[in-house]
Amino acid sequence: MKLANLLDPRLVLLDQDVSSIDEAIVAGVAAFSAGNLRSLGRDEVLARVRERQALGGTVFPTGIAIPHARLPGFDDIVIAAVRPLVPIVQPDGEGTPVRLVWVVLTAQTASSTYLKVLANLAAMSKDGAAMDALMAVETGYKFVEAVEAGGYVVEKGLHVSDIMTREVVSIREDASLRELTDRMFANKLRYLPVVDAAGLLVGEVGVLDLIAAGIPDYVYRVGSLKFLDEFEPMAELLKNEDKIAVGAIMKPPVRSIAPDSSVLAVAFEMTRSKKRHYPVVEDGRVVGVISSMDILSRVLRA
Amino acid sequence: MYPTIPIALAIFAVSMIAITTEKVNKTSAAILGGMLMVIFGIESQSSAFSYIDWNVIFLLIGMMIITGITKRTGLFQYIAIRLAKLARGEPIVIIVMLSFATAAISALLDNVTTVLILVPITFLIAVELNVAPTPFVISLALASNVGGTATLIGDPPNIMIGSAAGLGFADFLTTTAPIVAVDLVVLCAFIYALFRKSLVVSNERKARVMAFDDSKAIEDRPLLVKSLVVLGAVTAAFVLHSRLGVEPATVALSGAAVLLIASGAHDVEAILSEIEWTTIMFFIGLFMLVGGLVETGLMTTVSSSLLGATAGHMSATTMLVLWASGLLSGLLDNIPFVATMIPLIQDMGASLGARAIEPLWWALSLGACLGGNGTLIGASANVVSVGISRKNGNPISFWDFTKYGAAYTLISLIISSVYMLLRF
Repeated sequence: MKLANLLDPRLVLLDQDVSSIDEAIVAGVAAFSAGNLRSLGRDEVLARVRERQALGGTVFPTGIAIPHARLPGFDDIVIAAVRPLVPIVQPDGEGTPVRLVWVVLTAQTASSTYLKVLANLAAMSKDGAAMDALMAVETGYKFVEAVEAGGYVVEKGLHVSDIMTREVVSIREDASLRELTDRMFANKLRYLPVVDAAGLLVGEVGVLDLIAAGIPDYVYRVGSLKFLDEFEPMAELLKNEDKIAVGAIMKPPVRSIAPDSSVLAVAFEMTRSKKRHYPVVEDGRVVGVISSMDILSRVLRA
Repeated sequence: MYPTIPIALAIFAVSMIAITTEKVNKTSAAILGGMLMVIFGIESQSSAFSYIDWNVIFLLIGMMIITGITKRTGLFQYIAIRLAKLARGEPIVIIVMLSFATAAISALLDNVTTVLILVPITFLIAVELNVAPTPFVISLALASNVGGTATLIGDPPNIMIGSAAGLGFADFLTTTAPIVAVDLVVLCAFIYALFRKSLVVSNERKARVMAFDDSKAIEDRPLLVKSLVVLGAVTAAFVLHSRLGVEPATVALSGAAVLLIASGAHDVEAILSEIEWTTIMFFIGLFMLVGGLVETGLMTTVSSSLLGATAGHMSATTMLVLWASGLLSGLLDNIPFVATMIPLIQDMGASLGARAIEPLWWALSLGACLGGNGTLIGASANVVSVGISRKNGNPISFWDFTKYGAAYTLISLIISSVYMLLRF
């Protein structure tokens, strides 16, 4: 979804005679049509935007302000652009004067689209050529066209590359189990992608695969070891950890994930296969690892 | 009109080669062979289906369900550990006792299932004793084949023979079981003589086995009680089935249904999915395949020429069937072999009378079941036992197994010959 497609030329107010951010907010909110506001009262919307504005943090050092509000019972993103005739100087006289005020209304549960809109507006303000074009245009239509020319895209949904761990600790397939054990222990990792000499992904190994290497096959077939109190745990593994290569106990990668896969697709894959870690692969190389904890900490409780 | 006999023979030969060499999955080969018999008009679909011995199929399914539930209880592990402790950790005594237990369990359950359960726990005992597992693995495989010979339900060939010949559980108990008891004693002597010297164990290692807590081996005590009750009732019903006028498959399926209901909390779907459907479909395919051959009338020709060769002398024919099936079962899968022999012997019965040919059925049973010990590939139980051993870093070669297996097979076939000549 393009940023330009979220803008409406009728909500672009050029060369407004406003001398403060608050006046720009009033002008912007006044521009929204009844259709834009749905069932919400204009005064209520204004109050909400002011309430949020009082918390601060909406004025950017690049010379723009993004006053906004999350509205209950509202399920949309609407944006008004207010270009002051004269850049607004902040009351404290500090910072760059504000050349453009974006008034943004969104749903109470801020969607990822909304977060991307904010990120795009901020990015655009850092783009000198784009800002010059926005300052120079004479009509709302031209304003929207200028935004479109910048090619700003609001993507729906998070991608794996947004939340994955990029500092990948991997292990060579010809490494010994001793190296694997040390690396898992030192880095407190329970999952490592396995790579070959050329650095290409050839498998994956989890701490359970390592532990399983210490339990003989006949034990699995017996099915239970409750009757054995004195079975020496992991004795075989500790004795042989220099002799066994990671390649002998690794699993082939079930399914590698591309960096531009959607987080939803990965979440689906994880729950379906009950597998908590996936290597993120680009051109055969591991560029990241995504785990269920990444989804917990960077999506569910971001 | 097709030349039926050459086409039927060609289909049969190609299918049997595929089954024996396992170039193609043997179940797929058997089913395709059966269907080709229908497609080429050797037999109609309805006659192909009518050759399927449902008594065999449902007896197998019923017993698979009962076994599938019983093995979840930990009963068999318990027995193995209990015996190891009774033997006070003495390896040769453990082997002999476990061989007896394996034979006894195999007499009631499928041989492959028995070794699948008992070989791993035996392997664990051998490892704890720090002795070579090979004697344990070979002894258990041989014992399971011997034990299976004892009863109607012990080994698939017996199930097929019993159903085709109208021989009941009690008939097997009075005919094959006594000689199996002798075979088993001889097997134990054989094992004792061969392996006694190589199995030396330190006192400390014996103490480790004595430390096994057998009471913790039982996984599910209430289910164990239910399984034992059903298994006991089913065995009693098998013994009486001829007198009660009930077919063995009815006994097995009823027992399975009762145990499925009694097991309650256990997932019926999971238990039923553990039925070995590949084996069941193999039997179905095989019956249709052999049915095609029967339809051509070829079996009658062969059986009458066989009878001509032995001049109708029953003892000679019996010895021929015993030794031929004993030696061939070491090289071929004994199930398709028996499936082919059954219509042949039935045909002889048609000309000589059912009563007169009874020794032939027993010769086929003893030969086919005991013959499986002849080589590593002679019986599924051998292949499975050796496979478990290999996966645990103790490979047993074809000749390692076969030198013991062939020697014992020879001994057991000689004993069977003497028995057959004395008895019939």
